[in-house]
Amino acid sequence: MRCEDCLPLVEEYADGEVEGRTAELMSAHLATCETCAAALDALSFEQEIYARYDRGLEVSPTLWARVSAEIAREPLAESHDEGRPFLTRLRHNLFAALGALNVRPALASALALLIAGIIVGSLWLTHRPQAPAKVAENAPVKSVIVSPTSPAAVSSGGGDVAPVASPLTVNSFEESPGMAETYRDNSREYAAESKPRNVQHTAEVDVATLLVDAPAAKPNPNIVFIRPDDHAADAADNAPLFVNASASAHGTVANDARLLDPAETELARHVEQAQMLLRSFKNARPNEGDTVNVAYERKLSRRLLAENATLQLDAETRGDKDTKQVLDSIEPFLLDIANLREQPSREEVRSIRERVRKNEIIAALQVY
Amino acid sequence: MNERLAVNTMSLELGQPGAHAGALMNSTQELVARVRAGDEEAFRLIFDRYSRPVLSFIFDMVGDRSLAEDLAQETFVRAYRGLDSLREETKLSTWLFAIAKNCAREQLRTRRRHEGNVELDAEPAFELHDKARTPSGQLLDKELNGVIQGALMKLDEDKRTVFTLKVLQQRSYDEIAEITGFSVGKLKTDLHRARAEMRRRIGPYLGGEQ
Repeated sequence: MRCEDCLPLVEEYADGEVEGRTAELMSAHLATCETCAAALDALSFEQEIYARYDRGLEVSPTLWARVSAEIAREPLAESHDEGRPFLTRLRHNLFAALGALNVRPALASALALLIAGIIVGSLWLTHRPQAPAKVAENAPVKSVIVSPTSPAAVSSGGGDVAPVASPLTVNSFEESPGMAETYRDNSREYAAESKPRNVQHTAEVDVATLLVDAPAAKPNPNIVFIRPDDHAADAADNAPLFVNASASAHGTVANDARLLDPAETELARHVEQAQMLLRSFKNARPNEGDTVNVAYERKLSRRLLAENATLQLDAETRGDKDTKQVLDSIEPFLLDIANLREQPSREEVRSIRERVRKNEIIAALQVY
Repeated sequence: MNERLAVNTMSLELGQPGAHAGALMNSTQELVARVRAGDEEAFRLIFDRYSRPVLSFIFDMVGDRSLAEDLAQETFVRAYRGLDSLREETKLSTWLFAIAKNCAREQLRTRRRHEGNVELDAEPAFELHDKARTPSGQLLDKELNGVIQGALMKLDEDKRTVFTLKVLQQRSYDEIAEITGFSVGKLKTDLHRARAEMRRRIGPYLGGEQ
């Protein structure tokens, strides 16, 4: 071996990263070549100096206490099971159960899919929108809770305003005659183009119909609007936002609204808003430079954070572990977003988005 | 009396930080499996085993004691919560360092945006006091520590990461590649340049020693 072959490898050799025949050749060369041996000595001397580097660091006894306290907030046993999204849990449990029966993997997969299909089918049958019953048009309507959405936003998939599904109390027409009038007037205008409205005497309104027909005259403070400029991003990212808003209006929250008590409704609204916030954050568009405008998300996040704390307390008081778990899982993301600067860098936003993605938090909230 | 003394000594030893010596008798795989099964004491053993190198690494990256503790805490909390994502239990240490590196780098980027970049060729933060240093070994070492830490902080992030992991933490190239996600080629280049920069910055000190 010659010096020009040996010298470039001296660092690797000193690091113990040269092996086999090359190491043998280098070793032989270093034994006879003063120049190369001097280079190796210099590196060894440097290594000795660095080995003397003492940071004066000791692991503080409080460090474990801090780590322990932090992880106690989310015990692993729970986070490994209850904290997972419902579908993940279901999949794991099914595979575990089938695995325990010693079924061959391929058969186990097929059975798992079959069972999952049956469960999904049953859930769909249970929660599918009910066909509205016919009622007299001017029948009095009691208060119901609905998730408002804008037909325009749903149909266009990129309208100016996409409302976040949020419970909205529609007062009885008896109690608000003015509104009833407005509603009736608008009903007439819509009558020609929309299908006939069916309202139940028993004070239930078909939510979807109401949403389509409801007048947009008075802004409701309960409705949170997502700024249009933040969500004109790519279609793939936007699609779930609108689909979900629509789905929420026709699906879970709205259809189950009449089954929920006020506390549950508030919780459902909160979870839904958190979900929408995360989607909104995910879709937030970067500015010209290296920053992302998340002023709206920050503001909403701060509000939801306060709400989250109250709901966590309620859930804890009720001993409702599942709800507590969900709220606990939302909290770090709300905190992260709330603590961002108004114009954080892409990297800061990316890091939070990455965690949102890894934790499958949006999916978990959607399932919840 | 002697017997009592012996018992007390034993209790004292068990109460000391090294009392979790049982960690050494547990393989990494066993510990990870126990943590996954919900055994928090096993995670304490992992913490005892790796907290010091992780804390040192983070300190070398951020140069701030209190911040390093916070980030070490974050590292272990993230590790605990993300243990499911650890594919090869034998690589727990590499995985922990990767988390620590992420925590440190996230912090550095945030800080850099607030404070502005440190110029690589700016004056070293720790100047040598004079050529004729005190003969006191203690002071010499203290000065050496300051010089090395100052020089480290002047390296750019990639070079500092690679240099710290290789020279100060004695990690192999393959491990460093896994921790950082760099190719072996890049890390070799960075390491070579980092060594050269460090040599230039602590050169006067090294010259005095020789």
